[in-house]
Amino acid sequence: MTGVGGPCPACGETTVAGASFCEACGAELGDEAHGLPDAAGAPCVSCGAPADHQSDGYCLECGHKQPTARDDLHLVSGRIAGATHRGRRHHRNEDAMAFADAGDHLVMVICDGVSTTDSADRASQAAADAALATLVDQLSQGGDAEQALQEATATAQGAVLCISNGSAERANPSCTLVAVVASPGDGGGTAVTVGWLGDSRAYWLGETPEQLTRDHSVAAELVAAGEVSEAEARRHPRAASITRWIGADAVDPQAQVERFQFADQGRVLVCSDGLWSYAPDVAELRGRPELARPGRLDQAAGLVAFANESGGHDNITVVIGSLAPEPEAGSDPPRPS
Amino acid sequence: MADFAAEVFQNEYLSQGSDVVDAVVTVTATGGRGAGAPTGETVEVIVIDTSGSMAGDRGRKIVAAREATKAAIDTIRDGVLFAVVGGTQQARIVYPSTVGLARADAETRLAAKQAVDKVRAKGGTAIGSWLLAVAKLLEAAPGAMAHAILLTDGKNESESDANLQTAIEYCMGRFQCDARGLGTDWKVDELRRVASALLGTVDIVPDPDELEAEFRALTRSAMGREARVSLRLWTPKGSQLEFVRQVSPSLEDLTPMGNPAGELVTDYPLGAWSGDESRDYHLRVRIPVGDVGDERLAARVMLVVDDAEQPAALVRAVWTDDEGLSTRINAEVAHYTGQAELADAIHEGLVARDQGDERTATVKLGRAVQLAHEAGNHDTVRLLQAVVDVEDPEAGTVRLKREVKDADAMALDVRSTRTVRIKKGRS
Repeated sequence: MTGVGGPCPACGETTVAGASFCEACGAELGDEAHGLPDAAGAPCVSCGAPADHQSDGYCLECGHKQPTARDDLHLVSGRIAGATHRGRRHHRNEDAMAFADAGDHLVMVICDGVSTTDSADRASQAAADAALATLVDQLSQGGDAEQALQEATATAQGAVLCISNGSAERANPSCTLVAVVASPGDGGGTAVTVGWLGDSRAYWLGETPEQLTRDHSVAAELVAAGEVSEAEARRHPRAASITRWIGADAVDPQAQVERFQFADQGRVLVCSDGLWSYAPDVAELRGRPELARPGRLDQAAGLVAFANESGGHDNITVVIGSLAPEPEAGSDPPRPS
Repeated sequence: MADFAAEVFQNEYLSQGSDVVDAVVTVTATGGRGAGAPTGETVEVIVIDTSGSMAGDRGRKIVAAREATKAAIDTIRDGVLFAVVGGTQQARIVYPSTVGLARADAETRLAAKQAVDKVRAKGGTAIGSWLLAVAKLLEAAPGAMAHAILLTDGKNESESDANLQTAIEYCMGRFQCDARGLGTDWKVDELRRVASALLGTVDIVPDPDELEAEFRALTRSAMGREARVSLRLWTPKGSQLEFVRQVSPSLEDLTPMGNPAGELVTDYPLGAWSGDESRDYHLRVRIPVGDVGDERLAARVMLVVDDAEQPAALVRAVWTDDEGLSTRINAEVAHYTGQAELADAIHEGLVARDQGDERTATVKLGRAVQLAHEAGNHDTVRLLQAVVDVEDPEAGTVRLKREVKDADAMALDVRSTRTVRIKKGRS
């Protein structure tokens, strides 16, 4: 397992990029161990009051919440790069990404917290971290990808339940999940196994681009039932409502799992609806000029910027990985601070 | 010492352009010593009306006041400093006969009770002078946790209202005072002013026979207090604290009682607490508007317990264009907004009734019945039923009763600010 996370402060093992807990010993990791940039120590972004006039992440003069590392985060793990952003209309980033280039496999997970629920930001991070840890563990022991994805969903569900406070008065934290395992396939191709709940998506961007997931949403189900056209479905008042998710009140937290075989070593793109709502069609997405950039981190960050320029109405997360090395091998773009 | 905690209930989501943030803060003390025993001195002063009217009702009132005072003295813990004041057009120190306060033990309690037995009813009523006498006594114990019980059966007619107001203001922050009115010849507004400013309660004791139990309960409660608490509020630059009020166990507006405690920080005294109680506060802050996607702190709520600041609870504001979030009603805020409306409806209804405006009285008291019924204020519904005949509590349809006992109307008035807590277990 590889990742850009620093060593665990408790046991010294290498940690997974963006993880909240050490996989080896279970210790809680601070932002330092993540290798995340530390936003503290800067003057208030709103009124410019000095950094020592801040408490609990808020300015103690104007009250403005100070940016956190998760508001705008770029991470790289081997052949995978990801970017996540708060967007322009939400007060915090409730999307979470977790991924690892494990050598034999690429494992990529995105969870999108349901913003009408409590602690959706914590739920999505916990779910993504738990799912990644399970996948890496199972696959390293030679486990089957499909089986591993089901188990990963179960541990993600467990992690979110731990955040639920058991209070009936507030909405239980919940989130979507999309997890992808990409492994070398027959004849130099790529075997992709995808598991998902909700409307976060995975795309295959190879010779023949394809959307690998089918949204668990009211709109998608109306279309699938043949009742309405896609355009009509989008106008449905609850079009964007998801029909499956992870959380204490999830009706069916079993992931839908699909296997794909591709003859080439194309890219897998995983994203939250913060991106795809601005390019819902696979052809449209594939045609984005950002995807023609040389480095995967540039591509992911470029698509995040595109979504923000288009309105940034939601949190945006894009993760791109491929079994093929980066085009300019050995020259990973520097991680922005 | 007891552990104190503050918990915030609010809908932090605001629609674009909104600038008003409401929150209910529940402050809870747990794990106290139970028996009280604060680190510093404790003072208990009992002030009883000894004016001529107390000789009325064939002497029952003054006899009851004496017995109640003796019961209170017996309830005072060993080591507590105490005194008894008799009030007429001026205050007279009944006990101790020496200057200052007595320290409670078997001997001083006995001497005090003997002095109380000699109290006679004669003279006028000047409540302000009684309060100032308590403040004077307290000079012997600076910094002590001080509590007074004040009993009157009449109106404050031997001094000007300005004198009373001046005395109340002088005494604020010096001691807490629970005020009790005996019978029906006293004014609710006068005693409410005293009790509100001095962080105490006000109530009617209609029958002299009930006085002894009341005094014993008040003293026992005072002896159980062990920590002085303030609510310390930080609000952002450019904001305005519209109000901060206690909403449970009763409504008390704390807004005018704030003391500046630094830039953007104000302290609101909450009085002395036992180690095992819980109260709710409703605050409303108007803050500079943010953009959609902005998050701001609308208030930091800290507790200052015996001069030590406790960790903060946060009141947040998040601007969103998701109406599903911004239109959510926070149950706690809605409940206590309703409780405040209930108290207003009762007060306005009773004023209209006194002025002979039956139409307004019927509408207001009907609304009060409806609100009390909805919120589950069963005690308030019962008090209202002494003043109106309820036809339909859900619709708030009532008829004014023709014959209403003064004591019942006064009990409704004085207890209209008592609230119930939100019904838990709703979905």
